[in-house]
Amino acid sequence: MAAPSTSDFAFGKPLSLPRHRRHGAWILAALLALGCTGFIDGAGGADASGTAPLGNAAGASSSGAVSGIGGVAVGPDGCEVTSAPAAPLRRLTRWEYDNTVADLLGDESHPAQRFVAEADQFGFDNNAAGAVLSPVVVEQFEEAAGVLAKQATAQMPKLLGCDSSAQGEDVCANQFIDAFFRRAYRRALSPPERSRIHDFYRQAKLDSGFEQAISVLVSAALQSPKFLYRLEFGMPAPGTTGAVRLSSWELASRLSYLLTGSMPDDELLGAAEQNLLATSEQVLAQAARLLTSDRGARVVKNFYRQWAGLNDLTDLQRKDASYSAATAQLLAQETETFVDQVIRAGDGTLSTLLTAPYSYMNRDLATFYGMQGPTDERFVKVALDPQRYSGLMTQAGLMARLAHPGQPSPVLRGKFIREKLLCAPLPPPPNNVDATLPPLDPQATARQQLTQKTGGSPCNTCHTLLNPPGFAFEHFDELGRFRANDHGLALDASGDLTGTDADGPFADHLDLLKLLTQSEQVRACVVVNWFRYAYGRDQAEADACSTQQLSRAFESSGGNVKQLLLALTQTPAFMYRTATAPGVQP
Amino acid sequence: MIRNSQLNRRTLLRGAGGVAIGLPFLEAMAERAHAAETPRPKRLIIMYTSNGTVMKNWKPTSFGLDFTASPILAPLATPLLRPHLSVLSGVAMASAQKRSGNGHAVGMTSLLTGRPFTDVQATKFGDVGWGAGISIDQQIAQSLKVPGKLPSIELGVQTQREYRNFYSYISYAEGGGADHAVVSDDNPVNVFARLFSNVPSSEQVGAELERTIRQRKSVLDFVAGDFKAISGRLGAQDQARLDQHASLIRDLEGRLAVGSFCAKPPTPTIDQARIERNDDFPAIGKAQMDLIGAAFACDLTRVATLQWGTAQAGTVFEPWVKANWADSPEKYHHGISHAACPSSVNSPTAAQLSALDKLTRINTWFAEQLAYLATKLSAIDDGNGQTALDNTAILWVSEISEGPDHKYTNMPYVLLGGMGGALKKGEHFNLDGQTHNNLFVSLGQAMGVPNFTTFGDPEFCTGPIDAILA
Repeated sequence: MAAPSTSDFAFGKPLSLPRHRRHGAWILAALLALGCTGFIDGAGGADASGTAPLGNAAGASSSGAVSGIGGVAVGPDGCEVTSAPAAPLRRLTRWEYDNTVADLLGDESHPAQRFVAEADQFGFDNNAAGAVLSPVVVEQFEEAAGVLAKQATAQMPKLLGCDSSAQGEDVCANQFIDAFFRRAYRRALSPPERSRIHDFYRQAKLDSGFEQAISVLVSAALQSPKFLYRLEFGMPAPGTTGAVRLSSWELASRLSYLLTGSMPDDELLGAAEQNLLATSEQVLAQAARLLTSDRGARVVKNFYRQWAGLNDLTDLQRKDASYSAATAQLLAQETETFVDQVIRAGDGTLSTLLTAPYSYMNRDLATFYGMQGPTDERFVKVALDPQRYSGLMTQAGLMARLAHPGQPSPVLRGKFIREKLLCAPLPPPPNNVDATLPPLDPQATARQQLTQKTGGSPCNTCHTLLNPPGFAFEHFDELGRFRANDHGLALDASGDLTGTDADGPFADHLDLLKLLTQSEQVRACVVVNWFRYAYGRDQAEADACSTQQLSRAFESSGGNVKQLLLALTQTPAFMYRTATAPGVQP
Repeated sequence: MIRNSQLNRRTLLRGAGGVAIGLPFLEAMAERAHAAETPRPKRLIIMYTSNGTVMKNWKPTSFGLDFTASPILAPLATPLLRPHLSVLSGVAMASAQKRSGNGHAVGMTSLLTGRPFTDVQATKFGDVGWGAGISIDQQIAQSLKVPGKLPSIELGVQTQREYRNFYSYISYAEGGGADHAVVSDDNPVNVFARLFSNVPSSEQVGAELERTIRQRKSVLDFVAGDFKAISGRLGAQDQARLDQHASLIRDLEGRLAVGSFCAKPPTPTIDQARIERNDDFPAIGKAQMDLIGAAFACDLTRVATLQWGTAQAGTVFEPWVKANWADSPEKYHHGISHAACPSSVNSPTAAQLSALDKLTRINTWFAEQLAYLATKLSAIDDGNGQTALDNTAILWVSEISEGPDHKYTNMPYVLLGGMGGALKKGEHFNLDGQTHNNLFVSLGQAMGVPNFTTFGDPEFCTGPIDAILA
């Protein structure tokens, strides 16, 4: 956001705390009753030892407490599926569109970056309600499809996978139609669909010849609702009220878009075709495979890029002329590399994300920080001074973003912690409040001036909650670099955290982050954010059981985000949706 | 249909000869306009800028035809433009006062709809929602649409950079709400493609285009069939969304015949990386204004919106608006508007004076942009001794009156051009007690919308403002 001074609020509904916050004792009892032997524990335990690769998570699960759900409406972990929440129709986001055409056609030109942006919902761009529909949007789909088709048919043999001069144009076209549309629609074609596409091909060939006909097929596929939308019709789920279970094809898409931000790969399509996503174990095995694959980095990076607002770094105005678009890129890359390394290659815990005394840098980034070590463009692990740095919050990406052009912003930093770590946002200041910063007084620190400005009524109602966690980061300047003092004046980074489940005094940011690491509210917030990101919607009443399941998985794995990601594929919310119309298989 | 328009295209191209293609753009236009010898259509432009104005530097001190332009409106007082310049003082955006919520969001959603916002969400952030019905630009465009022309074009300057919700949109299709928001296109290259991709640059290219258009139409037909095939199998809300998508595809199909004849302006040269870059705000705006001029010259559309930024925009004007930027830490437009004080305050502080000065300069800069656009239109020969500016009305609006108190009374409306003689012009009107719904009815009637007697929430609409109708 470029307007930090007043009500640059994140749009969203009021947050209701996850059910387990309200029924903490009940959940604890349930955990004890289950003996904490669920699949997530098995996987988490194996992984924590550092000996078993992620892929084994699936292996561990099959001996765990997961029940298969073929025909019986009982989810894994004993969650009974009586009814399923509505899962609104999702359209590919710009990011997913670009990833998908890269995988489908090998096109790396990111055409969707020119599309109309999604409407933010809860800070994420992938909410079902965020897909804007407008005449321009449809034009953009059409234009991009035409350009992509033209480029793809420029390399015809590669696209067809068939030599049309030797094998004949129509033979190649037949093969192409089956293979291409299966990948574009993310499922096998039905006979009527296939014959309709063949008719279309023949007509186009008559009109403009073979090459143009292939081009037209590609363009049509890329504009079809079967490509642009994640259509989910489901299958009957006996024992439920108005719920359907997703088909293997539909689950393959859910898995793939959640964990790789793109269409299913060949192995996943193959599994779907053989109906090998019918049990939660099968789903988990594929999830583990995808998350460990190279493409698995996409989801972790994309989630944290949005959560931390790293895209905004490029547009920051900073008085310091050394801050450039190149700097922005480095800062974003640091945080993305860090979260990916911690979550997918490291111990994966929230605690490490918030307290790790190390980061990842290349030469230019180290120069920016005034550090030494990396010698070239590659990002490598760098040990940091644990008296100064602590996990991703103290990385320059977040600290620089949460600042004004010429000074850090304790308010924005406090607001970030309230909204993004505690899921407890505050209302924006009233409209008639003068929310501008006082002119800089060289005799007083920014903290002293802000305290004076916001100390009285009505400001102090919210600012007693906002300012202290923000003040904790006084040691980081507007470019996110560590500073010993505030323009020569002594810094005070101490304060009292209030209004949370981890209230207490802190001496500085290191102390505060330790408090937050112990907070159940912070862990619940991680679950809430991942729920919204993964399912593209907010939690509903009917999600109580899924949410409990996720919280349990996260808590019992010691706050392991990787285990939470796998658990997201095991809930009723992932495997079911409300029945709509009596459907036939597409 | 396509064949016919293609025939026209060829005939006219032959008539004008290869010469027309080689001529500078405006000359070619003039040549065509004379050839047509019919009165040119009326057109409407609505220009939006963010965060209100500085009333004491905006409102001229006297009413009537002889008013002296205020400091902010001075750029519009050139000998060429002053006869076209009307200032509409005293109009209230009354529908925005009906339901409380975030000041900028409330104003933005009533801005062109004349209704209080809908889909109200009682959040911890205060009430928010979406525009509740069709916007005046879309209403007029739909009522007056002509086959083979774009009903309207919606151009933006960094409207998607900061917010991607009801803060970002001014236009809505019938029904309003999130699914009917009409997004402004921030990319002049896209706008150019939308306007001119069906306009051939030579006869040979024309033949190729004919084939391409036929092909695009066949693809859209096929895609429409895919939408039909899955219809009825989803829940009501999902189905409504797909239906809307399918109807937009049919609209697009109908627009493929647009641009039957026109000399093509050069493609804008702004690359994608600059579209959201703050410092390119003026360059993008200029490219968009050039495209409005070109579209009107070619008569590709008759209704346009030009949206500079979003509600409570945080644009940083420092790189191109001269002011004493060093005297306060606040750089962002919205922040500055809060640092100011209402014009009614008699003894502002130094900080408030500084903010008022910056806001005045920012709004003066916007007036210069409006002057550029109007001057551009005045260079387009409409035939019969008229220019496009004579046949156009440009309305300048903002989502609030002034920044500090977010009021919706005394909206800073400026009207430029006479819309083919249907509107009085060159006057400072005292319109105390009037609503912007009534203003919109007047504009619709001036444009020639049949049976247009009310607009938006009827509670705030009593009929046209006779004082401004000629």
